[in-house]
Amino acid sequence: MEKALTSRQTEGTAMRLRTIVTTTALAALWLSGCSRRTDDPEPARVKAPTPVEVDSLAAAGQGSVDSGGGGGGGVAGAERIPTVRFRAAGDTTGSGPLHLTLSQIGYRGGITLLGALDGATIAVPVNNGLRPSTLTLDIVPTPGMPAATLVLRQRERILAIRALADTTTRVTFPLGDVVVEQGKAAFALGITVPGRDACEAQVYYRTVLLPGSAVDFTGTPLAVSAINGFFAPWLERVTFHVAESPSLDAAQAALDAAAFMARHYRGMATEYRIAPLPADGTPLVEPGPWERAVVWNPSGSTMIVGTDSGRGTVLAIGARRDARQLFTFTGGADLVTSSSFQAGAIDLAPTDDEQTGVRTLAELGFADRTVEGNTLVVADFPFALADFGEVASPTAFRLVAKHSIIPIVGHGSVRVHLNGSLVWSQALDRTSIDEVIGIPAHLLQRDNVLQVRFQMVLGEGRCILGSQVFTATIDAGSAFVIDGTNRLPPGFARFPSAFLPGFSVLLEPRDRYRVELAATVIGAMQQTTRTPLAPALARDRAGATGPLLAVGTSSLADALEAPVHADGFRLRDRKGRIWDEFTPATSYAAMQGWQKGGDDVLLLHHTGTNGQPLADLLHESLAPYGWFGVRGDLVIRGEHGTTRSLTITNAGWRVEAQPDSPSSFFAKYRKVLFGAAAVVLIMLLWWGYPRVVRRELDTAG
Amino acid sequence: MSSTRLGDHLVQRGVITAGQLENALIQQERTGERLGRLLLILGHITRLELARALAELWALPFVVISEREIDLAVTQRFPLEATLGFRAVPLRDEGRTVVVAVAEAPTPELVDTLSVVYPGRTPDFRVTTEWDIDQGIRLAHRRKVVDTSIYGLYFREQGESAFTVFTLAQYIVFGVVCLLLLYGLYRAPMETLLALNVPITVFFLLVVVFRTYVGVSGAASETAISITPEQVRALDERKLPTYSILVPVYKEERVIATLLRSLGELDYPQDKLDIIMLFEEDDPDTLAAAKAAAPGANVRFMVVPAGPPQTKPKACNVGLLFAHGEYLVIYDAEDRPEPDQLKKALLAFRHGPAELGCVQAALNYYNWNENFLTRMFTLEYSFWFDYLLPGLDRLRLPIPLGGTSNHFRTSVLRDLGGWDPFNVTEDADLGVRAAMHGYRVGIVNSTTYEEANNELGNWLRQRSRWIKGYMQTALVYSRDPVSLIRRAGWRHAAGFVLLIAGTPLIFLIQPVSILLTIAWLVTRTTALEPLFPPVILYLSLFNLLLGNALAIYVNMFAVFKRRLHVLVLFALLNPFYWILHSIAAFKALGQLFTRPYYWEKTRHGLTRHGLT
Repeated sequence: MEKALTSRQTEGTAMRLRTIVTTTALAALWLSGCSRRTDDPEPARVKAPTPVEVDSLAAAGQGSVDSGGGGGGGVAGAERIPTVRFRAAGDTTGSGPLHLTLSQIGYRGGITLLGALDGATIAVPVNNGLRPSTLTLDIVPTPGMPAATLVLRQRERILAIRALADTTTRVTFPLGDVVVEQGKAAFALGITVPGRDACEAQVYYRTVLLPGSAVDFTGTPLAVSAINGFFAPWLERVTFHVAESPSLDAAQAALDAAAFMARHYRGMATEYRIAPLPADGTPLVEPGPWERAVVWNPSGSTMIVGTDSGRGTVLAIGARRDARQLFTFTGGADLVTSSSFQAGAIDLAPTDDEQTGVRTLAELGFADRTVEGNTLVVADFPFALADFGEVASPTAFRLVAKHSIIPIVGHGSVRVHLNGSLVWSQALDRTSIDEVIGIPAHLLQRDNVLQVRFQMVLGEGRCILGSQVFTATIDAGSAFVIDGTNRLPPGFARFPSAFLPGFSVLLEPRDRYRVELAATVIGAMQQTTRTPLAPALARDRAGATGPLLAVGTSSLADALEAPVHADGFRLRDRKGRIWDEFTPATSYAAMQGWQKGGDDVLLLHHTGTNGQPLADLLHESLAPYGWFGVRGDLVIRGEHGTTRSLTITNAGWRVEAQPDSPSSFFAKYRKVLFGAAAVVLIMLLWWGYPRVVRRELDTAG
Repeated sequence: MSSTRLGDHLVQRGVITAGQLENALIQQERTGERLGRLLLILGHITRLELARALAELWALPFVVISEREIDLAVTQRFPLEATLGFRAVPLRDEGRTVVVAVAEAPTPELVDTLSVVYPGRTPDFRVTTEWDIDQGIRLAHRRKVVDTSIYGLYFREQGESAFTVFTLAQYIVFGVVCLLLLYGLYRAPMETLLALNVPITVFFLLVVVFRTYVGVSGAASETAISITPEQVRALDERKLPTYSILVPVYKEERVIATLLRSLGELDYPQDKLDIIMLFEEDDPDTLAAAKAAAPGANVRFMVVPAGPPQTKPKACNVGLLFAHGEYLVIYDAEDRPEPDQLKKALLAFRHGPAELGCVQAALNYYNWNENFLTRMFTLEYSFWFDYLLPGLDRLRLPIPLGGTSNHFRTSVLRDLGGWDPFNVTEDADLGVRAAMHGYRVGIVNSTTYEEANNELGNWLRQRSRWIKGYMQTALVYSRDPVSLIRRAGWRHAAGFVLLIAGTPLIFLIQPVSILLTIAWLVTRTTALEPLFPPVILYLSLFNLLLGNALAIYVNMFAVFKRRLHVLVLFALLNPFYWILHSIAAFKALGQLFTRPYYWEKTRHGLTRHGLT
């Protein structure tokens, strides 16, 4: 009896909460027409500086864009600027026929076609001068599946039809007639499996197009002649060349470029590297057609190099302002009309997204989604919290959809799942849906999948080929209701949300190695969200305000009061057991996320002099899922060990600094000890000289 | 000069009996030695009686040389070399004559030389004893004797003397290497240690292979020069040359009597032995013990002038100045040479090639079964003298001489400049120097039994001195590597590096290898992996397992020749014995810089075992 009462009380509380959430959501929807929220649910925080504030040109009040003065502003003094020469490759390196696999162009897991009737759209990047010639699909059909048909179409135009048996492993389609628009060839691939029971087919048939399936191209890539064509639809690699100790502007440009590359080549296997400038007198060899080199060259102007005779695959950036336009403004490159920037031709005001309490699917990058099938039809909408822009979490989702009628003898339902958990369901009794669904905060993660599932049970004898196919279209106007809170626990889960709208980057020391590490992190985070990341490189610790990405050594960890900052430490669980141990003598690398003074900090640091473990740690943490795979709030790696991810905050873990041991003492005072040893050795040699070299005859013995 | 013969004169004077004379004459018939010396050796007369008799026969005055008799200014005008050659000591200038003491009948050559040195003076000869002549030389030429015995080699050929421990170039290279090593350890410790490990491992391997190869070569030949008893018996004693025996002793009062007894038992005509006992000035006890033992007339006592370095080679150089013999051998105080050793050595010289300048007899221990140290020492010596040195001889490689029982042609030894008093293994140095000068060193099948060190501290002192000496020798001959190769050839140079330089190096490196192995066995650490890339790992494993096994194995078969089979299993304990070597090596390294010429005295007479 008492139990039943408690249960009813809980139910009542849940219902009241649900009502509140729904009311709030509706209110938010009504307010969606407002351009900006006026209420800020979070206390006032120190905001990260915008790139404008750190632009040395802006700071110095210099205006000339094409003067090549981007290296000025007092920061270039610390940078060694070698003479950069360019040389056309003069060979055909890398200019053979292009062959792109699905995994390279954004379909890392391949494509799976479900049931007897399904389709997928494939968008292939096509560089200028090339044409897709064939599509070769490596296929894994369901064993025992009846002979099926694969249809390749573009819009309503059927380009090719191929038979598919359950033993077929490879199918080739000609792509000669595919229309390429704006550097992209988008076409649909559909499957039709004949059979008696379409419902059964929906459940059991899977046709997997492996990631190794490839598109082959014909033609010759055209030389790049203008900046807006520099970043071709497909690139294998982009290399940003900076000095070993880059200036603030150069490093900022390299970080902006990292975020830009992740956005521009979202999902693709395009690699972004930071490389050293060639030594004085050493020419920079022009890369092949599938690669690009960007050179920070403040002594010149921003332009494509070698357009007369070469491929035009080297871009020299002469000013921080040009780099900002290219890498941080939406369509920045398209604003450039010639092969070089023109003074005063461009409005430098940054794009400022309107902040509202609602984000439609369209704003998150999803178009209207139409799904067809029998039995179970699913539409996935992956999104990151960071996609909502500045610190925000969805509290509700307004689902707007239309669907075909359910046969009288059948019935159906619609369900909404968030990250696998059912959050709402309803019977399909009309032809449209417009519901506001509350989103439980505890289900939200950094990266989420909202799934809309339609389930039909057709009447007896209706599961046959040719019978009615259930169709539903989810409107891109469906929207998330958001508020200005970040409910994610401290740690890596809060990034990149915590880095929005901008964040500081602190590199100690500011060298190419650390620029590369920071760029890798920024690029990986940018892959998880459509919202542009805006790093602002800080000149020093004092300049690093707001959310912070820091890369440095143990002294920086000390200064930032990182949870793990001692040269040596032990990690104990709540029972006192030691789970990990690093002595001060053994260097380690760590990545940790925590909150300091209300701001989130992501720190990468290493102890000792060897920075390689940090690079290894980052590489291993991001492989193979990028930032999607980074969990917990501490990743740690010894010089020779493996990378381990941990959640230490609120988990009862204790980080105990290790007392100095002889070996740690040696590690700590290594330089002093070796210096002393050298002095002692020299003194011994001095002492020994008259004794063993220049002996006097009468002092023998 | 009287025409009466010495024997008759002595009988007439009643100094000896007719029977004694007859006995001496029979002896003279056998050995061909002069009668006076025979009578002395037989103990029928004293030196004083002999000298007086000779003075009467030669009609010359007799004189006893003392400080009062000598005018140093006059005596020192006569060069030391002439004094030693003529055995004549000018005593004083008397205006028209110069008084000269002699122990032999004056020769025309002596008269001519005196007329050149003392123009316008007529020699006024006086007869004295051999001892007085030596005494006169020491009194008059003390400074010169000391200088010659200490700096003789240095002034003759600085490059061959260990007086300078490091040349400037060597020191600069040493200093730069040390500093580079330190810098490397700071900047890239693992890479530096790897760079160090590779040559060390390869060098270790080469030493193991070299020693095994030489040992096996020695086993195949056993001894290069094998003299049979028949050959010894066939020797005509009348044609035997005088043999000088140098016995440097220091604080050996406990064994001196035994030594003299052993020398008396040598199968060589006593009248043809020139035994020179070399005492140090600060060691009156040993001198007193020697006098108390009443040695024969063929034994001369010589007190080496004090002054640093107080080393055995310095004493030997003094002995070399005064030695009469055509051949010369050195014995230590505790040595017990096999009786026929001198004859075997002589035959070895006679049968050997003209360039054979030295013959080394084997050394072994009579107290081998006393304790762990003596057993291991015996194993080591058996391998060294019975296999390694014969192997070196067979392969025509430089042979580092053993401390005693090395027999020289005296002229060759003087030609080489004698011993280096600044080198604490002057014997090894001399062997290498002989090779550099084109002389050969042979090994003869005779053994001198010594007393093995049976006390750890004493053993460490002795061994650290030996290793320090090897370091000195290595430094001396590596001063000019190009010259070394040009003079000695590639094979000799390589043999020198692997044996002389390799021995101390291996002992210095060995503890590090052992510690690394133990650290790995105990901790199974992976931290050492970067130091041992596959090839080096396999070489190191070869050195550790097969290298040590080979070293133990060759040590094992060393006992077979001596039939000391009971020691076979002790060869397995060699790794522990090598650790003692390493301790001694580090001590030697420290002393090389702090006291390079310090002679760590080995105490003898500690054994409770007699010769078996």
